[in-house]
Amino acid sequence: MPKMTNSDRIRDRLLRTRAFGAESSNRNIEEDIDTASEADETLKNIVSKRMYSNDDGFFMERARRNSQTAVGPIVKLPPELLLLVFSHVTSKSDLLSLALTCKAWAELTIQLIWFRPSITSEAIFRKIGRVMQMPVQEASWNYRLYVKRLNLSVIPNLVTNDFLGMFNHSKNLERLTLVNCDKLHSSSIASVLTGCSRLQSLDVSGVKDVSDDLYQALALNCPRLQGLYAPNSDSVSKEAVLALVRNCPLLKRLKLSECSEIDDEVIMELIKCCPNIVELELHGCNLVTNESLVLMFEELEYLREFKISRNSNVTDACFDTASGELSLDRLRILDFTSCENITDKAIEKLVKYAPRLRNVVLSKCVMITDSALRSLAQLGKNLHYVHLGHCSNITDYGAIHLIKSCHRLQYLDFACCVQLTDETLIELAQLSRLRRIGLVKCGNITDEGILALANHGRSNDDSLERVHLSYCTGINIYPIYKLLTSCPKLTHLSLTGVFAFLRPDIMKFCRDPPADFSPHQKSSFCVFSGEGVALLRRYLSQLMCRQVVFVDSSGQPYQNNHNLPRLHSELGWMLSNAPMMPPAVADDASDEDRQNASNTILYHAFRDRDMVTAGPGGPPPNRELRAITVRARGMPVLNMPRTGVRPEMPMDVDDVDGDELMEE
Amino acid sequence: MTQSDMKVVLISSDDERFVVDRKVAEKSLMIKNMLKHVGNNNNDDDSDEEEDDDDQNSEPYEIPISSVRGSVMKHVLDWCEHYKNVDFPTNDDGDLIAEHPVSDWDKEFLTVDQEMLYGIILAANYFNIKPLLDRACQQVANMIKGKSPEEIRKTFNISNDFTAEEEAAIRRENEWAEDR
Repeated sequence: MPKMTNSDRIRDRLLRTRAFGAESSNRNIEEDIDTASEADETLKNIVSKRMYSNDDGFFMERARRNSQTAVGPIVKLPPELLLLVFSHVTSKSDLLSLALTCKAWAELTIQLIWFRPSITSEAIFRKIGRVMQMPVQEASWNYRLYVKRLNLSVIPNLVTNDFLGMFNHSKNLERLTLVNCDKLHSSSIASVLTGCSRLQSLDVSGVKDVSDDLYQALALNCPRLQGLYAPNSDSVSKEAVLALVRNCPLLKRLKLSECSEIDDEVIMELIKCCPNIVELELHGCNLVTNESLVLMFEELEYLREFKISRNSNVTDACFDTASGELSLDRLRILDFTSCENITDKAIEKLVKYAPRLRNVVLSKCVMITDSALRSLAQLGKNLHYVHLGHCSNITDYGAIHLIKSCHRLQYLDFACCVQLTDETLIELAQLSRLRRIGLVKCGNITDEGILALANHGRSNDDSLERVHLSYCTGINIYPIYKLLTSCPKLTHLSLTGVFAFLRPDIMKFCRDPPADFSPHQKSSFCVFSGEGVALLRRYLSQLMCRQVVFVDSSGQPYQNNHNLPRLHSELGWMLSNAPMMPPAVADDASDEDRQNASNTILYHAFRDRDMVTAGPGGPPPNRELRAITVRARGMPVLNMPRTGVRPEMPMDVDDVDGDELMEE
Repeated sequence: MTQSDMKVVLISSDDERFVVDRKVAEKSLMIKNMLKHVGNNNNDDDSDEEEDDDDQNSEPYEIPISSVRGSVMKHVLDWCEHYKNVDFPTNDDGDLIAEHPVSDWDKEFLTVDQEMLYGIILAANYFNIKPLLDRACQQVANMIKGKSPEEIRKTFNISNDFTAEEEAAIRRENEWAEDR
């Protein structure tokens, strides 16, 4: 064989390289679809990706057919590159201007405008509706053919069967997202799917009418389907699901929850026909047993997320393969909610086989004990998300072990883990990445635990976002105030049924209770979210930072500055324990009214102080604190601020004008 | 000779020869792929090319680039030289992971006449230099920003082949895209 020189070899390679599509042979035909990340994808990335696939040949052909009217140097750019350039134009009005320049450019721009029409408001919805209603021969383009991604989830209430029907014959659809469009019928979705041979994903989460015709349409028309989210498949038959899995071999992501006819046979068929499954959700599919699950864990080598719930057939044996070996190296998310026969033994095996698990949901797996938590602890830094709600056997011992071992935990739910105490919270405070913590009905938790969570050297970039403390009945206002001020990212705080917060001045910031709650439920509903949290934070800050002056028994400002921090803290406690604030005082109230209002606060403060330190009938309160005076300048602090944020008043003894002091 | 101080010769369509460091030339993924099996001492993947070791000292690597003119090539190689020590990480799909803001140097670099700018786009596409392609496209997109259709036509020397009716229809059917 004659020896090839390097230059020969390079020339040889060059000959095999085309100006476009050089990579196409190396590319996997199916691009990984990920419904969740769609929004992040920029048009220019999509266009540049498509340049290397031949999917859009039809449109490029059309673009080429238009005679170029450009005479400038830009004529050198072929339509593919021109399209890439135009995809960098981000303003929609600039795109419209481009479409109006000349026919060749319009052809390209229309591709960009209609690729993923963003229907984000009722106005756009109506306008698009009018264009779609035009007879095809009257419109400048048959726009249906240009729509590749259609997402109607932003305006679900407006989406009727008639509206969706206007997109019939959009045969180039690749992604159809209809989340919460609950007016839609299965049949109208099925008819849009007719002819959509390129469809990659369909999301009908929240669509209530999902029937066999939808599944049959997918099986018949969409051989490239990779994702189907249809969690309300309760009326779908076994035959329809079988037809789907047999005809859509590229399926990767599948949510078939509530489909009561799915049994082991369907799962076996799925394993056989769709080897690429990455995500499978089978909530409420309670005919499924260990028999098919063992096989599934063994055969689906790409399995990343598996969710099943309310299935008592699932036991520890679901990981017991014939060989006694199993590798679930790709598994990241596992949800066994309400699979009541899952025990510690299952978790022990799971952790052994799936060392890179990130999310584990075991809520209502009531047999779980601290031993399972010790197993989970072995996942170490890989573990980010754990839900252990209603696992009431677990104790501080297991929880602390888990928290200590898994320092990257972001989400923890211990709802109804009634044995947990402040000890767990003190440990939780060490988790620097914690974003959500659920402690609903953990009745042993007290102010001390919340203070630990709030105080532990957390800085301005504290990560905590959501805290659930409903029915932790022993919690008072002051620790929550501290939590609010030390966690600037907090956007959700639930305190339903916590007595200290069930008072009008605080509850006015809370969200409206769900309409279907009973009057009793409504009266104890106390959940703050979004702006409500910010308002609560501001209000409590005012409550706590009222100008407070400590005076000694002779009425002089208290001089021992060393003790001030402690006094402030104790005062905070007392104020927070005041069961009800006095009525707001109008601006033109007499001095006497103001004084009475102030006295009311003092009265409550002292009464609670007694209760806190000594209990009813105990010794009198600390002498130093007896002479506390609360001065509320003009009393606006008891109201909401009228404009903007009030600056916090300084708690500085020297700053006080002596004349305004009131001594009890 | 180590891999890093190896030279590559790129020959433009008008037979200009550009001698550059391999590292600079490999800013082009096309060239990088081409040189994948060349001159690597640890090549455990391609034993049939072991003879490369013999001639790598003597023969410089000549790569004819028949679709790029010398003037454009010089420009593109200047860019590669400037960014030779910068990594542009991409994901599995070859998309740039982080948006690199167009630097002042880039702006200056891309302030060229349209002829050259489109030459750079064509070359960056041919050579598969994503960050350069991206920035050059952005540069053209900036020339479109905020302009009326007529101003765009003027900028790019395009004549209008629409009738007034066609223009009105396109406006009517696509104006929804302007709404937020």
